[in-house]
Amino acid sequence: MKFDRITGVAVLLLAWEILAVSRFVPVLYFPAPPSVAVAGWDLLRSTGFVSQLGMTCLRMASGLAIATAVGLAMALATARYRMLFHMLEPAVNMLRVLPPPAIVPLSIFAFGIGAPLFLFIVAFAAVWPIYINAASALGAIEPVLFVTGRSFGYSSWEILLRLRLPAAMPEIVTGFRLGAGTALLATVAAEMLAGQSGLGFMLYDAAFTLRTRDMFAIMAIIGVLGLALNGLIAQGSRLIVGWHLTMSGTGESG
Amino acid sequence: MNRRFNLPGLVFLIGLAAVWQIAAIGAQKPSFPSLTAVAAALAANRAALFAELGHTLLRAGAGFAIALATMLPLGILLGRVRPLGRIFEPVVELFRPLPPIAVIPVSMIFLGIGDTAKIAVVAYGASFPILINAIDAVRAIDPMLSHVARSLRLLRMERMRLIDLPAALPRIAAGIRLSVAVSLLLAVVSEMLLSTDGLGAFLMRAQESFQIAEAVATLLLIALMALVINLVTQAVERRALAWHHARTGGH
Repeated sequence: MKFDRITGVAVLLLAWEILAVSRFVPVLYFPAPPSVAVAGWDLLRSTGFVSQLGMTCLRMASGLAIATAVGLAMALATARYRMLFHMLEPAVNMLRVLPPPAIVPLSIFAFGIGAPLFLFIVAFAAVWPIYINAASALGAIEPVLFVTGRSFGYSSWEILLRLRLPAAMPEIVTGFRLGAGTALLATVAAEMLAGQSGLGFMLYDAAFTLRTRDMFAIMAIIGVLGLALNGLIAQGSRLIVGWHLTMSGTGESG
Repeated sequence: MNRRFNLPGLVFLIGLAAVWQIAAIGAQKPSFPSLTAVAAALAANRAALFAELGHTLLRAGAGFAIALATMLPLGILLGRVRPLGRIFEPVVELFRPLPPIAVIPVSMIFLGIGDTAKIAVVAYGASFPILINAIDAVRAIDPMLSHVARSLRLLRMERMRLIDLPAALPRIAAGIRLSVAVSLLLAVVSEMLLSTDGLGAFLMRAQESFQIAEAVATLLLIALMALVINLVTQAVERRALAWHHARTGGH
């Protein structure tokens, strides 16, 4: 089983190596895996790179934090006042289908190239999955919860915060996970389009100056960043909704 | 009409437009065009914009078609033939965390900035949702169906085509919907970065020449395009899966 898991990846790396060594493709375009690994190691050890990496992480995390706060607040408000949900629906549908990178050019006019630009683009990209998942989960609640809440003498706000919100938590976490993926994509895209710093900018710069070893190394590092993000969220969601899994009897899969 | 008319939503949109118009007229800044200025820009550039729209749609469509044609069979194969799935799924997982936008530079180096490079990027990004959903969908098929297939003595290929594909389709449809959205996104972004033509390139040119009203008009057109395509996808899905909804008594 363990062997299976690495076979595919090993075959891929081997094919890459053979293709690179055979010089079938110019080595400038298609460097062999070991040289990419060396380039990646050199990048990670250089002092400037770590701060670029940190910049990208910071942009993504702060945008995601704003998106989570705004998305959850919107979802709670629309769950409490159903009218608000219908009011926002067409506008939300229109905004959420916009490819986030497409708002970069106009955002540059509004914010200039600086921290607010990235904050806005990342938050704009990530807020929709978070809001939509939370709103639909908060909206689809079992009537028995309402009745129970009423018989405890809860107010509508108390029912929302003490009963509906915990019940909706698994889907809210799903929305957050989707939003985090979108946030990484939006950060890299914004750095490629408007950046003077960050991994996205470095990737684009490396490609344009034909430093292909660096390019592949940076791609790998971005991939690892995405992987780390997924892992972090998986751990966090187990903490937040672990009780839900054990109660609904699906806990053993975690 | 099976959906209720959403009056509050319409009122809100009109209100938003009114606020925009009044604020823009009040601000009197070229960097904040009014709604009427945007509409005028849209009308003035309609021939060019619709030509660019065609380019964008063609690229998104071609990339999506390639992804669908290759990843649907591959997903069913990897989901059905377990050893293959065990070997190749880690490869898929290896590439999945990388945002597809990061592949654009690679595509540029190998394929230049023409149609091929952009279609390749779209096809790459659109592949993942279809592939992953197809693998999961096939694995989740009721084992009863496999027993039926075996007792009918279907060959492996027949079983994948006649049983696995239709049974997995409702779940695959979710992947296809995601994949359509990704296709549009990547078509626009690859045009923005590898500017030649298309809505993305038009948007970048409008920005570089400070034609803000044109840029906002392009953005509106992109949103409209995405909305219409979403609706079409949903309609196709409803028709294609009508048998499924009828059988399960869903809506």
